[in-house]
Amino acid sequence: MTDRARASSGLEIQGLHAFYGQSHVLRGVDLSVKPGQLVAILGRNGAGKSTLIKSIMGLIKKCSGQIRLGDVDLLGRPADQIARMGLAWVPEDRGIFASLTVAENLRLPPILASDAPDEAALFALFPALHERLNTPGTRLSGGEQQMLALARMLRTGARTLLLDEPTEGLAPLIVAQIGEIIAQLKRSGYTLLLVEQNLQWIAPLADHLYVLEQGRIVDECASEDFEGRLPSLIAHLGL
Amino acid sequence: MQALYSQLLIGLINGSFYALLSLGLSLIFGLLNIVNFAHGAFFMLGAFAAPLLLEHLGIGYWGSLLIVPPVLALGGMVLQRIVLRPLQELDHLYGLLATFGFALIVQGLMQIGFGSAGLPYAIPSALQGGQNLGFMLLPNYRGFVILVSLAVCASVYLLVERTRLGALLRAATENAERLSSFGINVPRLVTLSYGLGVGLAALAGLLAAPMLQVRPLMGADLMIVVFAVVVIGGMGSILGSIVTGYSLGVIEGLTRYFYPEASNTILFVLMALVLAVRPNGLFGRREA
Repeated sequence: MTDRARASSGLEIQGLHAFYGQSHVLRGVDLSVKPGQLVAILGRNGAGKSTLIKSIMGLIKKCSGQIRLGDVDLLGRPADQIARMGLAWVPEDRGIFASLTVAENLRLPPILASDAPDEAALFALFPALHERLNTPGTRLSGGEQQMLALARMLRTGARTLLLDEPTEGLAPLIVAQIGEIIAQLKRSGYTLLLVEQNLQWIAPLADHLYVLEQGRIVDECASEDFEGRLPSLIAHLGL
Repeated sequence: MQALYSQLLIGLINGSFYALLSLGLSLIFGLLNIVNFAHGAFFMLGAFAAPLLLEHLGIGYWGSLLIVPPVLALGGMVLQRIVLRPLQELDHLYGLLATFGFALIVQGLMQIGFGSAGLPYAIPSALQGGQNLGFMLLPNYRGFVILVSLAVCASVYLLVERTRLGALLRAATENAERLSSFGINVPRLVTLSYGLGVGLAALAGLLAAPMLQVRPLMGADLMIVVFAVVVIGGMGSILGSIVTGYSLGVIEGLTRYFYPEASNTILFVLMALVLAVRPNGLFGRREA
């Protein structure tokens, strides 16, 4: 168990560059997520949003700049060490392992904090999972898989969550449910960094929005300025 | 009829070795994505350990059974950490060549040390003799080998399919990078799997020592067949390795009875047929 996992730590990113081979994907990204905040990264396909999340998780080998979780620099650390610091990632494809049941998927990551929610608490939040514990993970619907991916990370006790397009490909009803859960997590003091394309859905939830374009932050605004900045955000996102 | 039963028994014995060896190969292939050519060398070292421990340290068969698999597993883990881990970012061909080179070096050294004829090793006294089953005489040691192999294969299957460690192994086989981002030390898991695979090869070698002439090339000869077993079962499939290992041992035995001329080639004919119909093997997962 780590104390770090218990505390909801903020993320500070400065001058982050990331490369896939010769391809320069992130070109000096600066952003800040304060403890307990929900920050959203918006951008079109190919803007570098998922690369940003993977860089934070230590999954992009060629990176430079600074990524700090609380007072610890994450750059250059292996992914498993970063996760054990209380940073949990829900990937875009949900990361459900096909050869594992729902229960096995759920119990895969290690528990990092003694006050991590127990399974009863998780099943209260995600009741559909309880009935399907022995089902292979990939037999779940898209919405259920997203619930499983979220529950799996919450079970670790991590308090800083990275969610990559959590509403992608989901029915409107499920998107609303996911929104409820994310709002609940924010109220509980979790720090959240979301990558999203759905501006209408994320804007009421977020404390701060960043727009990523061709590997650079090209616009940002706090929630209180959101209405005034809406035309500019829409223009950047090509909506 | 007695000849048929004898061939069936030999088939089951061979199948026991095929299953143990292909199980280890599958575990290693699943996580490292390399065909471990060093496997035959570890099988041979396991067999050599029995007469050497007896001659130099006075340790008998039962003591060897406790000592040899874990010690060689540890040696395998050292090999994986020192030689294979630095190569894992490169093309898998480098890992394959490294294990092939290791096997050649070990075989060469053993040939220099013990010659090509090798060493004899007696069946332990508690397992000498046999049981008259009415329709055939079952040598005790052969029955013991089949039982140990079945028990070990079932244990490994349950370990992989029913435990948390097994869930981690299956997840790492599917997507190691993703698993590491969940806080799991995948390199350690890979080393552990390599050790487990090598331990199984060493156990198979030790079980073979009283039945086969212990010689430097015994592993290399057997591995050609075991690779065919792994391909037919499905690379990386635990259940496939076990079922195919025993089945092919029996098929080989039956062929030796009904059509002896084909007994050395039947497995390779089956391999070609399976590859043509199911390229991922009988139990292998189809590519998405």
